[in-house]
Amino acid sequence: MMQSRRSFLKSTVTASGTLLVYFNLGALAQEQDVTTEVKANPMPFIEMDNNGNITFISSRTDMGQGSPTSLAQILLDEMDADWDKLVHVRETEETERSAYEEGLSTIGAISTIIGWFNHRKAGACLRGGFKLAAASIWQVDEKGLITEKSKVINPTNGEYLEYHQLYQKLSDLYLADVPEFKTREQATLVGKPLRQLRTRERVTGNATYGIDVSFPELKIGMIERCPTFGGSVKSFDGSKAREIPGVIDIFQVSNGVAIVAEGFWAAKKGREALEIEWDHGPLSIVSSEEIEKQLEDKLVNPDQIEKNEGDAANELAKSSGVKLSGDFNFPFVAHATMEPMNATAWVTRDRCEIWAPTQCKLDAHDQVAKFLGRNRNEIVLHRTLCGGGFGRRAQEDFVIEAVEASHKSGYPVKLIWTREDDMRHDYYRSISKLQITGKINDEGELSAWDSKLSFIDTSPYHFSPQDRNTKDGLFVGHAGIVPAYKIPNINLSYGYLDLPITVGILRGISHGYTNFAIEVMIDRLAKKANIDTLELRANLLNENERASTVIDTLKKVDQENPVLNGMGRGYAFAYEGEPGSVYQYYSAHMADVRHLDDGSLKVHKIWIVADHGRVINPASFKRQIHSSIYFALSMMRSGEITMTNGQMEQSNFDNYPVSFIGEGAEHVEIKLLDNGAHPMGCGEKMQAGIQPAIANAIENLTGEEVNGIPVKRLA
Amino acid sequence: MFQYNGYWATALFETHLILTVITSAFWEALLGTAHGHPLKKPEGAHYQNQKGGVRMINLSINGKSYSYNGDEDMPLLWFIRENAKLTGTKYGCGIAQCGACTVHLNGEAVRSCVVPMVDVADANVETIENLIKGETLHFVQRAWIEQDVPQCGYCQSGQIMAVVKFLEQFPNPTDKDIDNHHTNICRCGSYIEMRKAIHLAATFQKEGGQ
Repeated sequence: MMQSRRSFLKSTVTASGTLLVYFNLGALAQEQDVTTEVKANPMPFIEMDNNGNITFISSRTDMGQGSPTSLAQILLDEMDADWDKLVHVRETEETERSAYEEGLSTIGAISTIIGWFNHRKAGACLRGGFKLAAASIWQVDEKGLITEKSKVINPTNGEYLEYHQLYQKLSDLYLADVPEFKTREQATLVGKPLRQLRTRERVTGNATYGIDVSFPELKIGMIERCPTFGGSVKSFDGSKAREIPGVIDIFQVSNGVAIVAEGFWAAKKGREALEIEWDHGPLSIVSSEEIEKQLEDKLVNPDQIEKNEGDAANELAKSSGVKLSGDFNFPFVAHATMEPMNATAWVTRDRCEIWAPTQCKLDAHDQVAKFLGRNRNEIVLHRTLCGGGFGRRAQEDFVIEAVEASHKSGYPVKLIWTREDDMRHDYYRSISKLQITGKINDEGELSAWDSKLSFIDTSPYHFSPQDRNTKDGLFVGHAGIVPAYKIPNINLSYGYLDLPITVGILRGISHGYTNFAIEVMIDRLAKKANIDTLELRANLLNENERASTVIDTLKKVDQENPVLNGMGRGYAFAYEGEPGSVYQYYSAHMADVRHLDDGSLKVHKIWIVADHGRVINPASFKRQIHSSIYFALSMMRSGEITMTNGQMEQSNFDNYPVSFIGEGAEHVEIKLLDNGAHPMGCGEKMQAGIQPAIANAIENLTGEEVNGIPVKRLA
Repeated sequence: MFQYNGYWATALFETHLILTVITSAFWEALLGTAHGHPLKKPEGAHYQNQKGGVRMINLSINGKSYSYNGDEDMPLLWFIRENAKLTGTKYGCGIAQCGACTVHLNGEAVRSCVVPMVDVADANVETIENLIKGETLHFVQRAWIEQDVPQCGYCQSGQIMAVVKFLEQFPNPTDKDIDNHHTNICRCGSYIEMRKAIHLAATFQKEGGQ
């Protein structure tokens, strides 16, 4: 086995006799041909006690999406550890960005993509290390040894040593930088439908979310924020609020007036008694209709040409073939995580300790340091479990608020957002418009595509501080605008409005609207040209093997499941990435919709064919698809936030309903192609394909166009 | 007896009768019709408002006695979470829409975010923490683990508490019964697994399981 002075792994035995194993970025950087020396701050990812019990240290946020379980599977499989000895999971306490080559953000399906590099390599290095350690004890060649369920076994005599009997030796060894990986056939955990790691905590009420953080000195904070976006406090009178028993302190903060109280109820009542005069700012005369008009203008006067190949205008001007235009509208959409935003902070003169349900631990840490003007190392940020995320917790606004409230009051403060706060001060998926004109020529090819998009500038609010106010910060507003299809004449443009409305990432980001419009237009064009819609997609994707395979697989599913009487059927394709990249997925969606007796529309069945590479945990993957269907349907039916006079009108689940148990698809069938390509999660990715498949089914059933969301007749 | 002295010792009694009327009417209007578990005003919740006096509300949570003399308008949810320090019961909406705060009040599933303290005098409250007996999980919890229902898990305490009572009412539930009477929100959409778990729990119940 190749050994190196710069090992990927470092392991130490702690004073209490526990083995701690670290990634070593230095070695990783070397492998990635990064020539500059990166000073590694090692990231602990596993602990093993002297009974062999394992604690998995989760690098990624656990918000229900299942990645901690998948990452543990990758690691323990590759190290040949005994899954039954995995007794505990805890959140990483790492604070330094340099430890990880990226910021530990839990977004965009990257957990599995990066985990397949890091956790797999760590597991393989460790397995090799245990073999080396056993070989040195037995004085045999380690090549003849095998590993299984946390044991190194000498097959010639049946002798074995358990991993925990070996780890004292491990810290003396240099482990391989280029370890030997297990083959797919040798996998014991990857690909298995194992249960989630924290289920028992979650069904007994013992799981601790951000909102559950508690200690004796802790006070509860709330902020009254200006109901109008872009507004500010002119003046306020807290004298009536101070009379509310339990209210401790009232003071102005960056985005409103904060109240600190002994408990939630006192804070809420105190807040209701605040008298605040607002400067409502320039948005106070702006409503959704006005924004839509401005978005309309941006379609005509775009800010950016994303792609311009061939001559779309010329091709569209020709009278041959079949030509169609479509206009699509999407409202603001709110996240509505079950656990409203909250964070706990305790700022003292020389220290700041934070407990936060965040998706971007290190970004939040950086921004707190910047806000307080202190060194990062004076700040400790504990990441907690999250009651849902969907992109909302990638922003650090709610963490900064808690820090400011504690800093100004001197108390440790758990700053809680009511549901109303959460819904009216979200980082919404932007309201958007699309206009697409496409043409199928007489040869049945998609010969021209002209696509215009407009949305609210996402860059000032981008979740990643380094991308704020940059071109990269716009990506989450226009991602997915480039079709995967072969189109010789194509023009893609977008424009964005500079408005002080917080917009951000929401499960699936802009793919939710860009791919919606693309896939509905593809279906309409195919139908008008009398071409089978799946056949057209297959032809347009025939140079991309993985994309073609999902379409071909769906074609088979389609043939095996004839459309029943009274049903409308629709299809959609979704993708991200390019051949050669590890960041690639392809999925094909099919939906059947029928009328209910009351005239509403019910999704009878959804079929999804997904190629997200090798599947780490099929149960977890399918659970995410089930989840995605309900999420997509909630949004499609009633996911509409509207603005009047600069204020959001919806405030709670009564006027922004989300799906109940009976409001999903009646049947779901999933085919995971699991083809061995680099694995990728699917938590947010299904949002791109589910809605357009349903929209196409509705168009086929009713003959009416579905030009965006909401579709209020959906049951 | 565990004695708790609330922070709201000087509650404004002149206004509290009005507040009580409003909240109770609100609560009944909202819950009695819109949600699956009809909420009854708990028995024994009679009280006298003695002007100038601080009335003590005694209640039992998970078999433990508590006293409270703060703002009678405060929802039970916050007493459970902040005073009794039982954080398994969650805040989700504050208006009885989501069910994350579901507890058992005198044997009925209620949404504790809209039950004012004044209505729980002498009441017996059970929370998710009381479902496990020693090391033995309740059969609904077992079904939840068997089907690996939770995603983020935040709503699951409320889901489970609601389903325990739902299964008393519907021991052989059909899918339609579930659709019509189980109205707790799960934003993660763990409903497909949850539906299987409800059916499984019904079989456990028939087998007489804890």
